[in-house]
Amino acid sequence: MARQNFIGMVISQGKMMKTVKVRVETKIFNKRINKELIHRKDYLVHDEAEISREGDLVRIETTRPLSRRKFFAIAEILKNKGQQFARFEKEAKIDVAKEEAAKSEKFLHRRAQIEQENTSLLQDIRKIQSCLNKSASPEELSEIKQRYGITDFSKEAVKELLKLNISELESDLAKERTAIDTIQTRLQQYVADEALANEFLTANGVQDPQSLKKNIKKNILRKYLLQEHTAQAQQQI
Amino acid sequence: MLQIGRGLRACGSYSQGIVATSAVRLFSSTQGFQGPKAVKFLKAQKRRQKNEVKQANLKTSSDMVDPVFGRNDTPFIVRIHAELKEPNVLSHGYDSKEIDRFLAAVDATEHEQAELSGLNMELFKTTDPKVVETRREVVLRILNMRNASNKESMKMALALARKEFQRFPGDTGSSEVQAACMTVRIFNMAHHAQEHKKDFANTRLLRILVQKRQSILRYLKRDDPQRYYWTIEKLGLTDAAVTEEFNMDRRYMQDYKFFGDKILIRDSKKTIEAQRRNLRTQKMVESAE
Repeated sequence: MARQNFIGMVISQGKMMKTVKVRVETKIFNKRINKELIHRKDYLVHDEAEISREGDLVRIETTRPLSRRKFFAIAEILKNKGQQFARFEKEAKIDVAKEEAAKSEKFLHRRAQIEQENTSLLQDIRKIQSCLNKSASPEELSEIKQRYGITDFSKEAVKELLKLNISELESDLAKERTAIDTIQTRLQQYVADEALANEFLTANGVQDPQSLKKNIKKNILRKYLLQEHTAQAQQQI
Repeated sequence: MLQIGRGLRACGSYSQGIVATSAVRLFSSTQGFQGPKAVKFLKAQKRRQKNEVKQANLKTSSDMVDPVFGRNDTPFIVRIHAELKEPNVLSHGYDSKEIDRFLAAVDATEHEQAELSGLNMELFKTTDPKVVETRREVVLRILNMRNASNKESMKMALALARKEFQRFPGDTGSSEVQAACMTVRIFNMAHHAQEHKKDFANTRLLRILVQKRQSILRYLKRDDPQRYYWTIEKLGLTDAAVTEEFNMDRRYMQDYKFFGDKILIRDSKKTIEAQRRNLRTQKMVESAE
């Protein structure tokens, strides 16, 4: 005779030796309210190998009574979600400990570096300027050159050294704006001239651009124009 | 049997002594607890007490983590607070090197202008380095994070948290980033609530925030369990602190010493007595072992 079988979830593990608690949910029809209700029953289940974890979906099977409340054993683990979670938890502990150690070391290293740094940009610039005036003493300057990674001094190089972040941002913004404008004008051009647009799309590997709807075509055109622009920008870098 | 039990519980240590020495039964006295049944009962009682103590210890064990603050000295939190207190960390997104560059640029322009005006460069006097140094110090002091408002320091802390938890550069909305940002805000608000214990409005907001963090972490557990465990480990929380029901009420505040040793809930005499009894049995069991 087939043994009694249930499918349930492990809800408690590690509290008893070789035993887990499994919750089995069944639907029971309630005549009075004419509706199925969920009925839960918890079983103590034998787990010889102690491999199941909280959250696993398991199939349980009757055995001979193993103790007063235990007469089921785990037959198979259907979904080992609980085991997976336990593994993730274990791995996370090690990973995070490693990561945090590396990060705090980096932080301390940076702090030490800042403390060591006692060079003054102002004095370096003054030195450079006096040397530019007198055009002499390259030995002194070689050290400064090394520090800032410059090959030769000119007024432009000094300006580059003194360039503020904000001016850099300004120029970046201006570049971005012009790029957007050019893309927009090109897009308008393509929208106006259908033949040109079809040619551009076929060149970019779009099959049968004639059959595309107007709005979709515009979107695709914009996408390839943007791609082209970013590729160009990367090449310049 | 029940009566015997009650009697035994009342004089626990006394009965222990009897078990060890009761070889002779004195018929003049009416002591009923020396038979084999009583011995059996005492053994069972001991076993039960041991189990009760074990269960109580499990409940208050070290893996119960504060659901608001998490573990003590979480490296992530400690590091963020240390970053804010570093010297020469400036508010409003300024960089101390930028200030140096700015001061040097001012000096360089002065020099250039003198050159352009056709002044004899032998006569040109550069600004005293001491003056420039004081200028630098003043600017740094004004912009320093230590002198900045709480709002500014929070901005920086949030930016740091975002940077650590982001999935890709510029990620501001993933669950772990949200949870990390909420954690930073929770710490800020909780410290505020501890200092201003009558600020009920903000305490309520803190309570809401803690629940929100719990729920987003619960979502993350469903969505990406591996990332979830990494996140909670990093934030110093545990699975129980996230998934179990939690209310930041007076009971919590008293248990986790939110306002120090202040008593917020007065237990009834009955519960206090029960606690005392539990403590006594715990001590007894421990000494017996």
